[in-house]
Amino acid sequence: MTLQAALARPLMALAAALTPASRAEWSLAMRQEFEALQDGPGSLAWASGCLASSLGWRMRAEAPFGVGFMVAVLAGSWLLFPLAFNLMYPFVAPDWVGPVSTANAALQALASLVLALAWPRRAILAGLLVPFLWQDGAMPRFFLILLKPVLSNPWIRPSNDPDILSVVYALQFLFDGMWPCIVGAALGWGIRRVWPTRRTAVA
Amino acid sequence: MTASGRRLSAQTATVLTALALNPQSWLYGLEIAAATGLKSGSLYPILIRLAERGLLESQWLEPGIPGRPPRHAYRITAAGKAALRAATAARLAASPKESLA
Repeated sequence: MTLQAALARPLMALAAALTPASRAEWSLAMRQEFEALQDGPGSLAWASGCLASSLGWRMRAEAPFGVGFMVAVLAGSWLLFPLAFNLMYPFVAPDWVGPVSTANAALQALASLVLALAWPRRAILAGLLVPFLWQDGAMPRFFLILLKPVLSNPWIRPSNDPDILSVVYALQFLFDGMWPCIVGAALGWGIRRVWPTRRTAVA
Repeated sequence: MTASGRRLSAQTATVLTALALNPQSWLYGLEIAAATGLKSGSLYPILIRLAERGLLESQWLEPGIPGRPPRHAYRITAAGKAALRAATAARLAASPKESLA
C-alpha cells in the first residue's frame, strides 16, 4: 500500500462516519468512486474532498442543534438567572450567596434537561457543555484562575479550605460546577427513554 | 433564471455542460471530475443540488468487471438541458462581447 493510500483510506472512513443519514447514498457514491481509483494517483485528493463534503453536510445537519443549544444556554443564563436573582434576593438577603448559587445550579440543570429532552442523542454533550457556556463561561474562567496556583503546587492546602489539598479543591470546584448539568441531562435523556415522542413510538 | 427558478453558478454550469456533451451516456463521478476539473469536495454538493432540482438523474450501475462494487452514475435530464440553455443565453446576453469572440 502506498503512503497516499495509507493516508486516504482513514480519511474516507472518517468522511463516511461523519456523513449524516440523509446523505448516506451520496457518501456511498463518493466511496465507490474512491474504490474505483484503486489507491492510485488522486486518491488522497479525492478522499480529502469527500471529507470536506461530509464535514459540510454534518455541520448543516447539526445546525438546528447548535442554534437550539446556544439559545437555551444564553436564554438560561441571561434571562432566567437575573430573574431568579431579583425574585429571590428580598427573601434571602443578606445571606443570598448560598440560595442564589443553588438556584443557579438548578437553572443550569433545567437548561441541560431541556436540551437533552430536545436532543436525547446529544444528552452527554448537553451535560458537559452547558456548565462551560453558562453565564459566558464563568465556571471555566474561575477554574482557570484556580488552576494557576494549583499547577505550581498541587499539594498545598488552600487557605479557604485547609482540610483538602489544592488539587482536590480544584477538582471539587469543577465537579460542583458540572454535576447539576450532568444530572439534568441524564434526567432529560431518561424521560425521553421512558416517554418517547409520538413519531418514535409509531416508528 | 433556470427552469427550476434559480440561477446556475459557473461551476454548476460546467458540470451540466460536461453531462450535456454526452446526453445519452451515464457518467461516473470520476469522469465528471476529470471533465470539469472539479475536486470531489466541490463536485458532489453540485451533483446533489442538481439531482434535487431535477436537472440530472442518477442510478447505480453494475460494473463490467465482476467483483467490483456498483457505481453511481449521472445523466442530464430534459430540465437540465433547458436550464443549461437558459443559463448560456443569460450569460451571452449579459456579456455580448463574449458572443462575438
